[in-house]
Amino acid sequence: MPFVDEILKYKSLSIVGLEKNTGKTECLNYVLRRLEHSGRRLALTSVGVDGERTDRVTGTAKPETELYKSLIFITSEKHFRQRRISAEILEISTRSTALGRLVTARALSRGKVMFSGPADTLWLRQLINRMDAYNVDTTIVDGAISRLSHGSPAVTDSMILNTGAAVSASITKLISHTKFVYELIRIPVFEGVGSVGSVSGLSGVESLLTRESGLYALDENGTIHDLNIPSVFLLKDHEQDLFRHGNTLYVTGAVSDRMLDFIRMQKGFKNTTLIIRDFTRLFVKPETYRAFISSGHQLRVLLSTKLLAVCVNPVSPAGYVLNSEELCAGLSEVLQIPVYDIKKQ
Amino acid sequence: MINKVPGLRFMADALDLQSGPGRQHLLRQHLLTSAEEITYQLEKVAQLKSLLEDAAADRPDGKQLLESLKHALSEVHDITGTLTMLQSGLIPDDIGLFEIKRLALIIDRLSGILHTLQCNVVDFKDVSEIITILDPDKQRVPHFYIYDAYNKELADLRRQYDALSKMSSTPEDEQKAEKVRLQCLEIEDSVRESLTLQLKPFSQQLLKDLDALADLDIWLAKASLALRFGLCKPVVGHQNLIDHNGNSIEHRGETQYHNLFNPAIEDALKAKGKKYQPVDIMLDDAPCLITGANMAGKTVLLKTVALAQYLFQYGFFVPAESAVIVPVDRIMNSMDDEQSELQGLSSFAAEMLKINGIIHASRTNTRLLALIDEPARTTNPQEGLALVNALLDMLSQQNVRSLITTHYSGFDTNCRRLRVSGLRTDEISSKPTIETINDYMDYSLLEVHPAKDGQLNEEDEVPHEALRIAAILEVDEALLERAKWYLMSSGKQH
Repeated sequence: MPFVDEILKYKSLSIVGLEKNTGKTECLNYVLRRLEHSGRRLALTSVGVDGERTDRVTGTAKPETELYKSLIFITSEKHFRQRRISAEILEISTRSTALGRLVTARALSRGKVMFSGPADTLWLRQLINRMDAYNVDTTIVDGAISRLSHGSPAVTDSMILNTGAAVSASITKLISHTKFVYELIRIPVFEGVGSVGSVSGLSGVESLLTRESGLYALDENGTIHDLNIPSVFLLKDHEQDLFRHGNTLYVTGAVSDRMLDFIRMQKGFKNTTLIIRDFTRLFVKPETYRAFISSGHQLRVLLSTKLLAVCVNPVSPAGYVLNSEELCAGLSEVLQIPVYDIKKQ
Repeated sequence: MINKVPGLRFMADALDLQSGPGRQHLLRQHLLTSAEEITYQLEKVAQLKSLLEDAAADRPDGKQLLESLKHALSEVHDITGTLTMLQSGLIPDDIGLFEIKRLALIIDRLSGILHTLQCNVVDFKDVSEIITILDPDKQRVPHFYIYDAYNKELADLRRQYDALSKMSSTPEDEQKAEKVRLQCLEIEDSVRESLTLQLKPFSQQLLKDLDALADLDIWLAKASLALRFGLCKPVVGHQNLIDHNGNSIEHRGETQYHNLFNPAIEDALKAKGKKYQPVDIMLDDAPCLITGANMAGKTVLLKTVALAQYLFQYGFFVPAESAVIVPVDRIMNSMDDEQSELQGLSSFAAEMLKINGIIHASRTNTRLLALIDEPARTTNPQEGLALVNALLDMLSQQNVRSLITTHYSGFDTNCRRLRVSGLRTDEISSKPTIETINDYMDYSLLEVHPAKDGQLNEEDEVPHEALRIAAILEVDEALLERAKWYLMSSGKQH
């Protein structure tokens, strides 16, 4: 798989699954096997608790993460004590997770570890930065179940998306759902309007990124106006204010179906550009999203993540197996990028 | 405790502690009552204060050394649990051994820095032997595992395991690898056991060192605090008389503050571009009555005296230019707080209960400092005055070191009296307003001496500035006119 070499270009990678049992751990093991002899230093951690020997929800067998010698890994005290690997402890965090403090260690043999990691993305980001102290080139984050948030470009620079039979037993549905998530990940980056008002030396985008709450509008000169609407959930009371300064809007927080529908229904305002921080801020149904786009409006992000590959697991935890070739071919055609069956590699 | 004393929370929050153990020690600290203990603590803070002041001046790398000192402290984890485990002979796991090695390396680093700075404020025992035990490869980095160097056989087995697990594993290899792995574990366990035996004799020393680290952290933070707020090292005034049972029966001696100030209020005033006027005050082992106009800072004075006494007995420097302080066993307040209303008590009831507590305590063998803000102010003046008179009598009899503020006049007791100077009459050029009233207020204290016949001079009577201050506060003119008229007519009746 060519994408494995791509990984080394990024400081961090998250492996995200659309559902449980979409082959995340197998994907990770594959990546590790391939990178073992790359001569680059890797670190590995996860978000929340993961790495149980059997799947807690479905009871099916679950592959453990197999580490190679010299790999740096971060896991909780509890899981470190249960390790089946010899490892040199490098540091222990002051803060604690539900499973104890986080231990950073270097693998001294081949072996297996259960993974648990920081509970919040800020801490995760700090851990990734901390890896510089050990000359780590790339930190890989094993994601939690159906959570995309740590795939946010604010946390990791690149991602691998895992999908599979666990998402849906119907190839058509599986493809359509995966395509939707793929579309969200690929929302184009906002390029700016006019001269993009540089506020206090920051470029327009940087200046937008510093804003932590509220709704803003950018007029044709690129000047940023605070619409004084504290949250999109309070939009109802401020509907008349939304388009005061034109139709380029920046929403700091989450964007819901309601917001997209509202903008779409305002016949007086065409070609609205709705800017969000990154794709993880979008909590919308495919129908709403597509209706929004097809009525001439557009969505833009300030930060985008590099999607390196889509991997599929044709085996569902319920036991049925989809036709791997049909699935891969179908997805590649729709997504227009290579799709890999992780079990075959 | 910390929330009950006005201003103490402010100081505790301003304390820049680096380490977890330091913070825990601070929370566990109790009020120091022996002069020796307080002197010891203050001496340590003084030592670090001069280190902070001089290090940067004395040597070019002084500032950097201080920074690395703080940094080393910030890295200390509280590993009391692991150390007590070690002490009782239980075997710590790799995480525990890592923590012990890490602590030893931090202590080693700190001793080095303190030595370079020629500071002997704490005495760490030599940890080089501990480091040698846990660092067989002599790498001097705070990493740990059961090193190959501990056991030759272990090193061999590990090599075997590597070779077996590297091959594209056949079930046979896997079995072999697993066997080797289990052998490794066995040897690792025996290494841990022998390490525990070697380290056990040091557990007591390390526990002490951990305490010393916490002390150092607290002293250093107190010293920075003293520099930041301009606090002074108080002199411990101790003239305890000890009876034949070894109990202190009396505490003579004067507590004296020169230019006492309240750090929290000074900070707030500074933010507004204003200055805090510090005051001088002396307390001996008897009640002292303070009178003064409204807004003359009587309550603040009481709170500040309480704060300074607490700071002193928690081993802090105090907010004054210089101070001599006599330690007490208990500091008791009767000041306005919102707690009483929450308990469903009227302000009078809450106050009486507090005063009752003070009277009871005064009869026991404890050295007291009692600070009572305007007792009996919420009841009728006749009974109120009687109550305050009685209170002063009782406190005099028991030699209670105390400050009592009041607006009442006509006391029969002969206790010491102070009066806040109050509004400056001479230099009022423009009309004072609520914003500028501070500038016209003289907060200094004057000693009031009764004339030979025991009567007070008219000017030393309780000042009558309530109406003037109300006017400055721009209270409705008609109301004030009417009040003046009543005042005049009552004067005529007398």
